[in-house]
Amino acid sequence: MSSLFGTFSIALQSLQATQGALSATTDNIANVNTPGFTRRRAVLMEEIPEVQQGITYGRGVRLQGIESVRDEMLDLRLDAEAQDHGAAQAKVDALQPLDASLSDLDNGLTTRLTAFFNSLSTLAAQPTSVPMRQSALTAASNLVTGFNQTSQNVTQMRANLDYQVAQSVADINQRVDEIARLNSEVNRMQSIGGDASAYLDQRTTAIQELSELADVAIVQSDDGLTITTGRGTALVVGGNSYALQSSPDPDGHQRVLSAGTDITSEFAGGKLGAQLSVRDHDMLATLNDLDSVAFAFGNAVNQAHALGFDLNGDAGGQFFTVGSSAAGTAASIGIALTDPRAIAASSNGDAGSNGNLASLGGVEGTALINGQSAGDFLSGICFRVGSAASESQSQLEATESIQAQLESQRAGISGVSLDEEAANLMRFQRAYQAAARVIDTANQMLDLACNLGKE
Amino acid sequence: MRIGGDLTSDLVRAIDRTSAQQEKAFQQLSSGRRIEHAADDPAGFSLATHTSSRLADNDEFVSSTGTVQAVMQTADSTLSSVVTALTRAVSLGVEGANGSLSDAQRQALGAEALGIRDTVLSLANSSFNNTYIFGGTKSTSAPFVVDVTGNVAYVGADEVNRVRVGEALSVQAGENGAELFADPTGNVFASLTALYQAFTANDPSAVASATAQVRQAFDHVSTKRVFYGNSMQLLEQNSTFLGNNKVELSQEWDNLVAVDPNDAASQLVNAQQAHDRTIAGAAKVSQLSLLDLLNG
Repeated sequence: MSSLFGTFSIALQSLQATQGALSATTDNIANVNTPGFTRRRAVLMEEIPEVQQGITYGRGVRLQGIESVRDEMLDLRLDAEAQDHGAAQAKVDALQPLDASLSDLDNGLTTRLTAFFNSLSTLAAQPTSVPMRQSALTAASNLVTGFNQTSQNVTQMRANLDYQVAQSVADINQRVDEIARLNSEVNRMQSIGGDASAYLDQRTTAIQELSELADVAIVQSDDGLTITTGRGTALVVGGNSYALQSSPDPDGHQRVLSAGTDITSEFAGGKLGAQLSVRDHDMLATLNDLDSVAFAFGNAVNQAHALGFDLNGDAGGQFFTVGSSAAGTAASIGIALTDPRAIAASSNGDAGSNGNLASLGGVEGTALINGQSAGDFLSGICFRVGSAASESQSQLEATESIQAQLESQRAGISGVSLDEEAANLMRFQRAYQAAARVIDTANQMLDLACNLGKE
Repeated sequence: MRIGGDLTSDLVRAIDRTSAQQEKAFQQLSSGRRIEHAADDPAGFSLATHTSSRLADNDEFVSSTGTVQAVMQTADSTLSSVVTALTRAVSLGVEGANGSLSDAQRQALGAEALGIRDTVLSLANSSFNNTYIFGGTKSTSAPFVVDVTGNVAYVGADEVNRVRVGEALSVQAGENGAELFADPTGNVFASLTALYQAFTANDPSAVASATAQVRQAFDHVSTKRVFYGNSMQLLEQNSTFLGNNKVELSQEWDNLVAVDPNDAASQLVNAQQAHDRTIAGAAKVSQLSLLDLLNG
């Protein structure tokens, strides 16, 4: 507008736009350390110019709005990486103690097994010696104790994971409730035309935390945000949340349910998926393998022992107490002999014969399970668990590295830079000063105009 | 490309990393081991377990070799005493075959011959660590007894134990008493009994005949000593082999598991220095922003 009053109104609008921009800058500075905060940016637009008598006059600046600078694709990638990270971390936390319990170079099961067979070899040189026989029983005792304790340790670890599974389910429910609440807030804000950035930021953070916990699918549609498990069980639909429950099965292991249906198998990733996987695959397989080898070993020794004769010339009885099936053998295997004289070392009934010790010793090299000797099979268990633990550690390092890069990218787009905000402060301050100066100048000019012709 | 202003999380990550490396280096130095658990090196752990088993087996073989050597040495020295006794018996026999001896003199020789038989009986019933060494697998009771007819009878076993002293090496733990002292080709007790009886009967030709039998027994026992000599030599060689094997296996173990202390110490020093540098660097990184520098 060509009039002085028009100049006033342009300058005034400029002041307002600058104040609005300053508020965005202030908001950013205040939230520099807020996790998940996306920086705000003032959107300044040129007002539509007007044409008067062939001359186009600009009409100043307008604050169009304040937008938050976010990259939703990046958020989705961060969610996906969070699932991998949550899974890898949980695997490392669960598998490292399992590995430590099984793989002891100095006193593990393979060492004790070798010591047992060596004690029989030593006895073979002095088969009538009661102290040597007692040594053999002691070595056998160490071995069964090793089986019992290792089995108990693994069982205890599974129980710990059960506790953690229940905890993860509670954590998931907490996030799910929060996301549903934030969905409602976002909808409400958007329906009244407001800026839902603050709620969106909190929701993004909550979704990322949820992704660490479980491998969820996130779908944004016109109706709102829907979050489900990988197989489609609803967790969040718009403003509604659907809590999960955890409850123990007949063996005492926590199962995950949604509205009464068991959905435990729907979790393959995230912290919960990893905890379930280690509990139900790695640890269960280890327990079963320990049972299998203890059962096969105990029975093989008992069979060989029955072929021989003890110091009294009686036929060999049971050496180890072994159940009728493999299940639970590692935890329960014990020694049936209490008297060292009852070791059936003799092959011909003479007290001084060591012939049956060769049969007993032969169990060491006999293929007992899957074509493997007991020692090789035990070694195989350690290798499998050790490899899984090592691999999960590598995966954890990889996801941490990728997460760091993605976080860095996100910070680059959405993070607050105090340098940038300081520069903005200066810029808007100057603009405010300049607009104020315009008002002052226009005021002086108006004053002159009003006093034209006055004496 | 816009860089987000806050470096703190990057710095914290860097410090965590050097801290973890420092801890790992310290653990390796203090334990002296590169591998503690299978996760450290799954294949290496497997190999180490196998090597450890072979080392334990080697130690057991050393122990068994020692035990069998001790038994054989006892047996061999016993047989040496038997040979000495038989030599004396032969002298008696030669002297007693002389037709010019009186009855009383022959009786005296007979008494000595009986005494020799009793000595040899006692030697044949030798024990080592409460085990009769010439009774075969019936080692808990004396293998030779004097029966009602006054003859010495073998009541031990024919079967003799075998003892494993190496991966693929088992040795027979000795000879049974029947083979040594009651063998048809040279029967120690039968010949000594015959000698005593010949003296008692004052029969010089019987004495001569019995003396020839004692000579055969002497030859037989001397031949049998070769078994013990050979076995002891074999066990000695085995001992040497096991000693070398242990050195090799120990080296294998060290190669797999052990950390060189000098390497570990220098790794720790490097890790500590890296950590100190990271922390110092983090402290120096300017946390100033433009805001701090603007005048009011």
